[in-house]
Amino acid sequence: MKNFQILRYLKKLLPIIIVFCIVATYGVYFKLSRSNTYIASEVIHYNDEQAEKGLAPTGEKLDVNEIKSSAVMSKVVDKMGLTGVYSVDSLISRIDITPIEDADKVTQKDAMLEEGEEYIYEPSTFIVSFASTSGEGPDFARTVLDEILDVYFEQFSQKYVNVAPANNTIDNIDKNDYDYIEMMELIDTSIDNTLSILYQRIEQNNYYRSTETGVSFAELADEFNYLRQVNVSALFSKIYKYQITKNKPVLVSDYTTRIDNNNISNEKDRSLIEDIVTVIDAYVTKMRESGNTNITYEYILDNLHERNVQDYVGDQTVTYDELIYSWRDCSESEEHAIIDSAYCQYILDTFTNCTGNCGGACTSSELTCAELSNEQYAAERAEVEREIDELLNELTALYDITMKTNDEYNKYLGASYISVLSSASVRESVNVTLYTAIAFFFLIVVCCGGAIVLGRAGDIINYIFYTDHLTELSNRAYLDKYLKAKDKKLLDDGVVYCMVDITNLAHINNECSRDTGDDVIRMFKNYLKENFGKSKTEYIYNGNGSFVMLTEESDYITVEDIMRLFRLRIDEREEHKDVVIEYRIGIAETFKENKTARKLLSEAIKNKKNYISDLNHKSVL
Amino acid sequence: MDKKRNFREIEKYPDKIKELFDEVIRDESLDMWADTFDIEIIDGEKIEVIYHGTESIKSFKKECKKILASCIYSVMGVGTKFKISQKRGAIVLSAETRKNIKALKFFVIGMVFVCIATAVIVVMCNYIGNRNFRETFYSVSSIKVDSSIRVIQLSDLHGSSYGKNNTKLLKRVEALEPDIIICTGDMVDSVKEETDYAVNLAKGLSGIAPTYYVYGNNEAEDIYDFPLNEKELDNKFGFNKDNRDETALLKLKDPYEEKLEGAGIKVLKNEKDTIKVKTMTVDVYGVLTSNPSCFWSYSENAFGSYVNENKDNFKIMAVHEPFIFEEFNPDFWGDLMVCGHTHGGVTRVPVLGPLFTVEGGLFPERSGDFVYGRYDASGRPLIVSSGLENSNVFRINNQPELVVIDINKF
Amino acid sequence: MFTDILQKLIILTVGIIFVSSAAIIFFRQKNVNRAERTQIFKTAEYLNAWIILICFVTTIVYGIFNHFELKKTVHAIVSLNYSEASQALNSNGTRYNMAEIICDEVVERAIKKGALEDVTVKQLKNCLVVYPCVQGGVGDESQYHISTEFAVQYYASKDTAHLDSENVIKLITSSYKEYYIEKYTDNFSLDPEKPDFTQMEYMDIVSYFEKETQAILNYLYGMSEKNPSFVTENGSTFNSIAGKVYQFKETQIDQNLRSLILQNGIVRDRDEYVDRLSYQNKNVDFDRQKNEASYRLCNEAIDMYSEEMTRVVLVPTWDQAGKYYMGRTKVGVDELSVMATNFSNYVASNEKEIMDNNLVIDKIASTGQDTQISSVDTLIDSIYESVKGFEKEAITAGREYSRHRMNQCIAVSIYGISIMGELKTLILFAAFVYVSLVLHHISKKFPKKA
Repeated sequence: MKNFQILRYLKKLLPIIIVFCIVATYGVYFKLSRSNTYIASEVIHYNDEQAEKGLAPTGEKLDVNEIKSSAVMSKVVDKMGLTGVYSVDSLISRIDITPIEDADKVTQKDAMLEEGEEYIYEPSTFIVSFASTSGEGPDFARTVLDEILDVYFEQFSQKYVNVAPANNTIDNIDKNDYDYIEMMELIDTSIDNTLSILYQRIEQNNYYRSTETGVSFAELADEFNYLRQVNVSALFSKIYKYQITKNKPVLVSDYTTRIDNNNISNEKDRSLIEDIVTVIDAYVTKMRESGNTNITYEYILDNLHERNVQDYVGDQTVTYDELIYSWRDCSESEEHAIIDSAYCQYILDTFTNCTGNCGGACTSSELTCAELSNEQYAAERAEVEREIDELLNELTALYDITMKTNDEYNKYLGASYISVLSSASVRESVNVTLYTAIAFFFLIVVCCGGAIVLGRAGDIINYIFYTDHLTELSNRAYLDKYLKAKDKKLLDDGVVYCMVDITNLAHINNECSRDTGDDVIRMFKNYLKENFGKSKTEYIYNGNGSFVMLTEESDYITVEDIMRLFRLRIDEREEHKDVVIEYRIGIAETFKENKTARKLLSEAIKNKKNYISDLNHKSVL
Repeated sequence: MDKKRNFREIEKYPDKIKELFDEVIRDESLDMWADTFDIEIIDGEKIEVIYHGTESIKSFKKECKKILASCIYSVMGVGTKFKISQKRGAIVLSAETRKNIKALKFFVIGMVFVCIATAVIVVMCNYIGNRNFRETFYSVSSIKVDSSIRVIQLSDLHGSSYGKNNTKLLKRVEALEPDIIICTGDMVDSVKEETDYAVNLAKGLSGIAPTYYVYGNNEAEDIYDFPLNEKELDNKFGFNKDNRDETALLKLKDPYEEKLEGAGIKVLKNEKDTIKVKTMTVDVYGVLTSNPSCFWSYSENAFGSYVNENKDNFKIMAVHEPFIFEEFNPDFWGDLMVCGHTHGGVTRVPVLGPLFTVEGGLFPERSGDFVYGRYDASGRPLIVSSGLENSNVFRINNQPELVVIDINKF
Repeated sequence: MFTDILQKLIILTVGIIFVSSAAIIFFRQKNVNRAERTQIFKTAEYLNAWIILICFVTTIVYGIFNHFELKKTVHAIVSLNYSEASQALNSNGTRYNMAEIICDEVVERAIKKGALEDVTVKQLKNCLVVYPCVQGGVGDESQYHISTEFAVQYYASKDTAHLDSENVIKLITSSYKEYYIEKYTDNFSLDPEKPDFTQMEYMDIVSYFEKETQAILNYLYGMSEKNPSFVTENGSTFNSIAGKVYQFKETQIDQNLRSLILQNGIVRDRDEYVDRLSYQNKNVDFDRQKNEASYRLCNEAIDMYSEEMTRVVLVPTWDQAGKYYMGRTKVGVDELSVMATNFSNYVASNEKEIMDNNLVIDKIASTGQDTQISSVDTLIDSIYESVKGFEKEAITAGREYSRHRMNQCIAVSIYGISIMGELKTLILFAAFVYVSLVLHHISKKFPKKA
C-alpha cells in the first residue's frame, strides 16, 4: 500500500479546497456582516446619596428607564434631524439599560435582611446601550447614544434638581388686548416671579456662571431689578400721571370687579377664620383634659441624632400647628385682600380723577380727564406704547439669556448628579473578523481532513483490489478497470504505452527457483521505475512477468530512449548475473492519431521486440 | 554507488559516458552536440562536464543535461554529482547575450526618457497648478483677544496676476472676510516701471478691510536707489553710530507711497498703526529697515514705542524678510509676526523641505533659516509666507499661497 | 472620482495579469517535468528591459493617481487638554459630547470661515466621521475608559472633490475650537456698548454703575472661589482686584457720585423723576402694608398659641462646629416667630426704601443744580472709564487663569499625506507589478501541451 503521505492527498484536491474555502468564507463573512449590529455603551453613575435608595434628589422614585422615554427620544430625533427617518419607538426599542450592582452593597444588604433588618439598596450604576444596524454603522450608534444621554442629563436636572423654570410669561403680551396698566402689572409680576426664582438659584450656587451667555444668576437678577427700578417704575408713573388707558370704562369695571371679588373672598375668609378658632379651642380643651400636654423639660428624646433624617421624608407637622397656620393664612389672605382692594381703588381714583381741566366733562365721559384736556396726551400715549415695546424687547432678550443660562445650569447639574464612568464605546454584537477567521480555519481543517480521509480510503481500496502484492504495482484488475474507463474515449496526444514482458519467466522459475524469478520481476520493476523517473507514468504489473507502463505527456522517442537506458541497466546489473533473461519490449504512442486505449495497447503488443540479457553476450535488438 | 572503484576503472568513465551519450542521443541531435564537451572526474567521484561549443551553454544544458545525467548514472551509479560548466576563455557573445546587451541599452535609454518625461510632466503640472493660489489657514491664540480675529497676508506677488486685475484674488479675500489685510512686500518687481496693477489691487483690498503694506527689497531698492543696509544708509546720509537719525530715511520722497495711500491703504515704514477690531485694539507695526544690520540702528525707537506702549493691545509685526527673527532674540517682537521674501524655498522637496534661498543656499531650513510656514519667534508665532508669485517654473510642490490667520482666545 | 476609478483600473489590470499568469502556470505546470519547470524559472528574464520599464511607468502613473486619491483623505486628532475632560465633562462642567465636533453649527461655521463654495452643510458633514482614538469597554471596571482624544476623518466625496482636504479639516477643527471656546470656556464681559448717559436720569446712572461693578465683583469672587491663590503675570490675585473694585464702588460710586448728585439735587427731568419716585413709594407702601399685616398676624398667632401646646422635649445633637449641643423639638411658635422676624425685616426694608426716595425727592425739590452738572458729567465719564478698566483687568486675569487651567483647551494635530507612507505604497505596488509581469513572462514559457 502506498505510504501515508498527507501532502499527496492534499495536493490532489488543493485547488478545489482553496476555492471552496475562499467562497465559503466570503459567504460566512457576508452573512455575518449583514446580520451584525453595533452596540454603543456608556457607563453612568448617579452620584446623589439618595440614588442608592432608589430615590431621585427630590425624594421621588428614581426611574432610570426615563432614558428610554419618548420625551427624551423625541428631543434626540429633533436634535439629530432624524424626524421622518426613524420613529421614536423604533429607536427606543434599541436602548438597553443594565444595572451594575455593587457586590459589597449587595452582600451587606443580604446580611442585613437575614438579620431581619431593613436595608434599602438599589444599583446606582448603569450601562446604557444603543444598537445600530450594520447599514447604519458604528458611528450612528455612538452619536445617538451621546445625544440620548445629553438630553437625559438635562431632563434629569430639570425634573429632579432645578425644578422651577424661569419662563418668559410676558411673551406676546402686547398682542393681547390688555390695557397699559394691566400690561405693566403683568410685566411687574413676571419680573417678581423671575426674581424669586433667580434668588433661589443664587442661594443654590452663588458663583455659577454660564460659559455660553457669560452671566451669573446674580447678574441676571441685577439686570431684572434695574429694569424694574428704572423702566418699569417710569412707565407706571407716566401711565398714572397722564391717565393713559385704552378704554376707561373697561378699566374701571375691571378694577371694580377686582374689589368686589376681594370683598367676597374676605367674607369667605372671615367665616373660615371663625370656624378655625372654634376648632382650635375645642382641640386645646380636649388635649388639656387628656393630660397629653403634661411633658416636663427633663424628658430627653433618645438617639434621634443617630438616625438618618432623610429616612423621615414627608410632612410631620402636628395638627395643632396646622390649625394655627391655617388661621394665620386665612387672616393674611383677608388682610391682603383689603390692601389689594385699596390698591384697586387707588387705580380707579387715578383714572377717574378730574383735575378740573376738562371742566368736569370726564365724569360723564368714557375718556379720562387727561385724555380730554391734556394736549400732550396722544404723544405721551404713543411714547408709553413705544417704551412698553422697548421694555418688552429688552425683557425678551433678558429672558432669552436667562433661559440659556438656566439650560446650561441644568446640564451642569445633570452632569454633576450623574457622572460618566466610561465614555461611549462601540463593539460589534458579533466579531465579524474573528468569526470569519474561525470559519476559514474550520473549513480548511474540514476540507483537508476530508481530502486526507478520501485519499487514504482510495489508497486502501487500491491496495486491496488493484495492487499486485509482489511488485506493489497496480495489478491486472486495475488495467482492466483503466481500459474500461478509457474504452469510449480517444486518448490525448502524448500518451505512450510501453509493455515489457519477461518471456522466459517460467524457465527461470523452473531452472533457478521461484525466488529468483520473483527477484527478476522486482529488479525489472525497480529499473523501470528508475528509468521512467518522475515522468507521468502509471506502472502496472499484468502478471506472469508482464509490465505495462502508461505514460502521458510524453512521446515515442523519449520512451524509446528510456527503454534503451533500461536495457543498458539490465545488461549492467549486479544481481543474478548468471541468469539469462529474455524479454520483449513493445511501445506505441498516440502521436497525431486518435486512438483508444485498447487499440494503443494492441499496437504496443504488436510492436514488441525480443531482447536477451546474457551477461556473457551483449543483448541484441 | 561503489565508492571503492579502482583508478583504472575511473579513467575509463569519461569515454564510457561519451560513448553512451552518443549511443543514446537522438540522431538529429548528435551532430549538434557531439564533441562539444569534455568530461573530467574530480576526486574520483564527481563529474564536471566542460562545454566548449558555439551555442550557448544554456541551450546545451536544456538539450543534453537530462541525457547526460542518465548516462552518468548508468556508468557511475544513480546520484553521482555532476556539473556543467563553460570552458574558461571560451565565452563568446552568443546571439542571446547580444540580445541582452541590446535590451539593456534600450532599458537605460527608456529609463532616461521616462525620467525626463516625468520631470517635464511634473514641472508642467506645477506650472499649471501655480496659475491658481491656495489658501493656507493658520490658527494662533492670544489671551489679548476676546473673539476671533482674521488676518489675511499677501506677499511677494511680483506682478503676478490671478484673473484680470486680480479679480479672482480680490474675490477670495473678500469672501474670507478678513478683519485686517497685510501686504508684506515685493508686490511689484519694479516700482519705476509698472505699479498700476498693485495700486488697483490696493484699492480693492482697502475696500474689504483695513489694509497695511510694508515694502520688500524690490520696492525699497527701487524707491531709494540703494540697498537698505546700515553701511549704505550711513553713506547716504553721512551718519555714524553717534549721530544717526532714524527719521532721515522716512523723509525721502516716495511717490509710490502716495499712490498706495491714495488707494486707501496704509504704508508702514518703521511705524505702527492702531485700529479697533470688534471689541479689541490692534497695533500693526511695519518694518522698512528689515536688514539685520540696520534694524536696530534705524528703527530702535520706533520699535521700542510699538513694543512698550499699550501692552494690552494685540500687536502684529509685519516685515518683508524674516532675517531679524533669525538673528535677534528680544523678549517680545509682537503677538503675531508675518513675513515673506523666501518664496518658500522655490522648490520644496518631500521630506527634505525647501530647496533653495538666495541667502541660505541649498536646503536652508536645515541650517535653521526661517523659510516657510510657522515658526516660533521669542515664544510667539511667526508666519513666513511662500508668496503669490507664479511665474517661476522651478516653483515645484510649492503652490502660491494666500495666508489666512485666525487668532483665537486659546 | 476620476482618479479613484483610474487607480482601481490599474490595480485591476495588474491583478488580472497576476491571477491569469499564476493560473496559467498552475494549470500548465503538468506539461513540464520538475527539471524543466526549474529550468523555466531559472532561465526566466527577471531583468527584462520591458518588464522593468513597464513596471516603472505603471508605478509612476499609479503613484500620481494614488497621490491625488490620498489627498482626498485627511484626518485630525482633537485632544482635550483641560482637567475636566478626564471626567467626560466640558470645561464648564456639562457633559462632553463628541458628536459636536462635526455638528451642523461647526460645519456651517467652517464653510463660512473658509468661504467654501458649492457645498452644503449636509454634503460636507457626510464626508466627516469622528470617533474616539481609544475606546474602553463596559465589561468590568478595569475596562472603563474616558476618551479625551478624538479622530476626525475627512474623505472627499463627489460633491466636495473641489475642496482642499487639508484646508477642510483645518477649518472644521478650528471652527470646533472656536465653537467650543464660545460655548464652554470661561466667558465674561460687560455691555460693550456705552450707554447714552445724557438720556439717563442721574440716579439711574448710579444704579447702572453699581450693577456693572457688582457684575465685575461677582466674576472676580467666582474666579477666586475656583483658585484663590492664582497670581496673574502682573502680580494680582482675583481677590486683590476684587478689593480694588469694591473700594472703587464704595467710594467713587456709592459715596462720591451718589452724594454729589443727591446733595446738589441734580436731575434731568425733575417732575418725571419725582413722579417716578412717588409711584415707587406708593407701590412700596402697599407692599409695606401687606408685610406689616403679615407681621402682625404672626404675632397674633403666637399670642393665640396655647401655653399647653408649647411643651417641648430636649434632643441631644451637635452644632455646626461639630460640638454636642442640646437642641429641642420645634413647635409652631418657632416657625411663626421666624416668619414674624422676616416680615418685620421686609417692613423695615420697605420703610427704608420709602425714606430714601423721600430724601431724594426732598433734595431735588430743595436744591439748585446747574452749577454742578458739568462736574457730575465729568465724574460719570471718569467712572465709566474706570469701570471699563476694571472690567479689562478682571477679564485679563480670568483669561490668564483660564489659559493656565485649560492648558490650551483643545489641541489639534492634522495628519495629511505622509511621503514615507506613499513611498511604501509605491514600493509595494511596484513589487506587485513586477511580480505580475514576471509571472506573465514566465507563464508564456509553459507549453500548452506536454
